[in-house]
Amino acid sequence: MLDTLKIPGRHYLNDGHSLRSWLFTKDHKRIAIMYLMSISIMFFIGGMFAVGIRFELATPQGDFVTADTYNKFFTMHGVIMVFFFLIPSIPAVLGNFLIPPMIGAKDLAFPRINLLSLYIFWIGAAFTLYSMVVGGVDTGWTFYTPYSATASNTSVVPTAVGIFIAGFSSILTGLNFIVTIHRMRAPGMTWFRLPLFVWAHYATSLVQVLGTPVIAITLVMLGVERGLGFGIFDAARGGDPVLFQHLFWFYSHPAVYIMILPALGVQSELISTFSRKTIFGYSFVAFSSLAIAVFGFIVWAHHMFVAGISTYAAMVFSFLSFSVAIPSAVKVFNWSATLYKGSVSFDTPMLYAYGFMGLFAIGGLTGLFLATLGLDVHMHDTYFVVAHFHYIMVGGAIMGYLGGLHFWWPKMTGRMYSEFFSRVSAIMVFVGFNVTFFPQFVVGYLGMPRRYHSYPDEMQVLNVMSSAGATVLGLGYVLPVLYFLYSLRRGAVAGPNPWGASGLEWHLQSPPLTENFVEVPEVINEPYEYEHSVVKEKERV
Amino acid sequence: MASDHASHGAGHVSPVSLYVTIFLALMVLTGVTVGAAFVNLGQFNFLVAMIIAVFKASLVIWYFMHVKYQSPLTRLTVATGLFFLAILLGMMLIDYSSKGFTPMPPPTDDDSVLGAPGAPPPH
Amino acid sequence: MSNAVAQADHHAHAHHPAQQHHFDTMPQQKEAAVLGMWVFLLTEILFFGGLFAAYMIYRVWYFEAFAEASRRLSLFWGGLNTAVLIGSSLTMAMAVRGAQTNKRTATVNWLILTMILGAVFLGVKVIEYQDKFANYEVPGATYNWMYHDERAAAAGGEHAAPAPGAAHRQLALSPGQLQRTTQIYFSLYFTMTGLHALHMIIGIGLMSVITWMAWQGKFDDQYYTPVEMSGLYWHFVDIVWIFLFPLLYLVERHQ
Ligand code: HEM
Ligand SMILES: [Cu+2]
Repeated sequence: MLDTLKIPGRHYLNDGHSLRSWLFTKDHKRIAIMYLMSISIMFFIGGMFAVGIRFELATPQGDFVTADTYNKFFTMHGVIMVFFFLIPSIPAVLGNFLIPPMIGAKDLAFPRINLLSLYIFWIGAAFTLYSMVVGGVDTGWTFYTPYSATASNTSVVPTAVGIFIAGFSSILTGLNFIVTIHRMRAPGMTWFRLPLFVWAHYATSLVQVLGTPVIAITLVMLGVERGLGFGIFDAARGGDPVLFQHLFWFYSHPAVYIMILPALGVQSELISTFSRKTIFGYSFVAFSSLAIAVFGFIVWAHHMFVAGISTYAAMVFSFLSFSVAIPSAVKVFNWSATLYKGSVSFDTPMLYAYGFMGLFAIGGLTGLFLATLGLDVHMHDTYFVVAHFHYIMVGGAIMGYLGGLHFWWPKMTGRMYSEFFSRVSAIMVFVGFNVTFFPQFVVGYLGMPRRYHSYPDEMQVLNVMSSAGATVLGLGYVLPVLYFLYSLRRGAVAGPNPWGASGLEWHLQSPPLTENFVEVPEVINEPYEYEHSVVKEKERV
Repeated sequence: MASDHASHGAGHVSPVSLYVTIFLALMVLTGVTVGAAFVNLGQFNFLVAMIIAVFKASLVIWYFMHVKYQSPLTRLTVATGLFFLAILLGMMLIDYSSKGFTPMPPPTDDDSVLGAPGAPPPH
Repeated sequence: MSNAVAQADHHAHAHHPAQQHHFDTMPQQKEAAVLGMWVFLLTEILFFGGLFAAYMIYRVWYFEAFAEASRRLSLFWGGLNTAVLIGSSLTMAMAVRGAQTNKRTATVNWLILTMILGAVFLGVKVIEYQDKFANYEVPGATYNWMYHDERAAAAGGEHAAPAPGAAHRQLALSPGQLQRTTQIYFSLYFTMTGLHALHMIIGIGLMSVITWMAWQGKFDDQYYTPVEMSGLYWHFVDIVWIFLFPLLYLVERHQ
């Protein structure tokens, strides 16, 4: 980097150094940083359970932990990763940090509600971690009745309370984004000039706002059944356990889009920036986000094909599940078309973006396998399903998150991380990931069920591969922690726009001022104008 | 966006008489629901009750909650809520209404499942 | 950037004291708040929606049990509460109107009246719940469907008329089935009305803060957003009840 670049004298990070100035901040950027730290801790706790799972599965016998302990391992892994890492990950960290600058606003519409959402997240996490300390839960992250309501003697209620509470943090984030995007755009920032990252977050917010309350009420019903002896899902009193699954998946299928949609948004930014081209088919990419959000609500029963729903309903949901693949495919095709004849580079964020494209495609296509009625009867509850959703959630969502973090890290901190180590880590993550999860497709197809701590001897080779890959993957995740922390003190100064990117946020100094913009900018450029000129910004009189 | 919604400063002030009229209408409709429930309309009892409830709710939304005077965006928000509620109820009905297409075993009459009815309540 | 520019931003015309720094204008701030509240209510629709979905399925499956169990609720208390709540919606609307028209005492008084009506509603709910507890109609280990009728019969002596309806209706369900499936009705009844009551308690809590703010003279015709927001919330709670009342109290009253 050039010697002339300096960290600006005044920025959001040195605007107060006391703990108080952080805990009572209303600055969306500081809240984002606190979210970043919180979910990183949760990620590593969830990761420890994954280590336990893979360690157990290295041998066919259940020799490391008992079956009961194993049940708790995969439950706590799923609960923490889904509700306390992936769902907040991109929205609460990157979205929180970037949406206001991207649309030319000084803050989110409701800064105090933003801080509140962080506190609520902490309270929810505290409940769930408490239940972990007092013995854990063994129901699976899906909490299916009747097991969760009557049979399990683990701490289901505290965990459910934690998830219930954390759900409100997610709702408040979504609400804040929706209002911000509607009401806080700078003059000239029309809907079709919004970065696709913002479109994706708008769609995500819709899902958060519409879906989360349903899981909240479902957990309430579970709670009163378990805690007070009510009988809403209790088959002994005529209740229907499958009703729980309907309500659960009404949220939890859309919830997978809460995890992936923001990553799709990051991907659009990365692809365009690092191929120096306008995104191909902007409005298609934008509307496909909305389409995914809406279609996501009408496919949920594909998780219940063998749970006793009617055959006719299964046919309808199977057909509709295919339709969600269309908007997802639109995006992948448009990214490919963007790359075509672009001047493509291989900076670290882009390495993640390449990885994302392939893994997301595999994840989506295997989703179609599973949405096929006849095939799912064979593959339901096998490792094939586990591989499917890890391709999307780890290969897609986490790759997108890391890609975005590497892309905007210089904006967030003003400094560059190690070029070399970050590439090493990106490659380790990609290779480690595939070695971990590809064998699971095979072993699942061969019939290995999920959620068991032992398996037939002939499946050991594939499982050992998986455990070995997980080691590489895990190291690939640890590495960024080291070079990111190192970069905070020693990293080269990044300057306002190290990647030569076009978004409004790159016009700010790095790290930005607390109020982002001294003057409300007026936007006169179309989005992603890489072919034409540098984006111009005019000051409003 | 700042510029295109800068119209109504103090918001719309409805006359007191309107509020009182709406209140009276809601009270009358409550009476009508109760009355209708005592008439045997067969299948239609439920329908009538729901139509009245929807009508009452609309009055509250439209006049008390000022949606009549709000931006189209507010109306869209309300409509979105109802639309997704309809998805939840409707798509669940796809399953529950077609379950009967294939015959199911009759419900059990086994009283031993739960405490026998009529057992003396614990004091 | 330079201080001169930053100050120029600080305006020709005076800011309303309630305007937050990240908004350009008061109307923008207000529009944001209104939209935010409506999006929150959107969430609330789906929150209660899950319960309505469960209700829908079970009502169809166990209609007779629902009809029987619904007759155990008091139409008098239910009807009274409906009237009280509709009345509180009127007083709430009047409170917002008071703020819109710069009438400070009127705003405060209407808000207090709304809270009183809310408290009346909750009081009636307590009476109703107590009756359910006394009759072993709370689902769970102590639930006893027969207790109500037996007690009525015992109280009236040998020749007393049977409890309203129960005996002369030909029921397809055995007492055992009723004992089980009416519990589903009461589980939903308590969850739905309980959550509704919780919303009212939160509403009253909000309103006491707002009343205090109104008393302090924090609101005027340019800035009364908090009053309006709690009004929207309160009306929503009213709407939920407008549906709960026929669904829970009036399942089948004509027999
Ligand atoms: C192309 C779109 C997709 C289709 C058609 C699809 C289809 C399916 C189907 C049919 C199942 C159920 C398999 C079974 O249990 O037998 C499933 C499971 C799952 N999918 Fe997908 N999927 C898609 C995209 C996604 C995305 C984007 C995510 C996450 C970001 C995701 C996450 C999951 C998860 C977590 C499960 C397993 C849930 C569990 O039982 O624990 N899927 N998918
Ligand atoms: Cu799904």
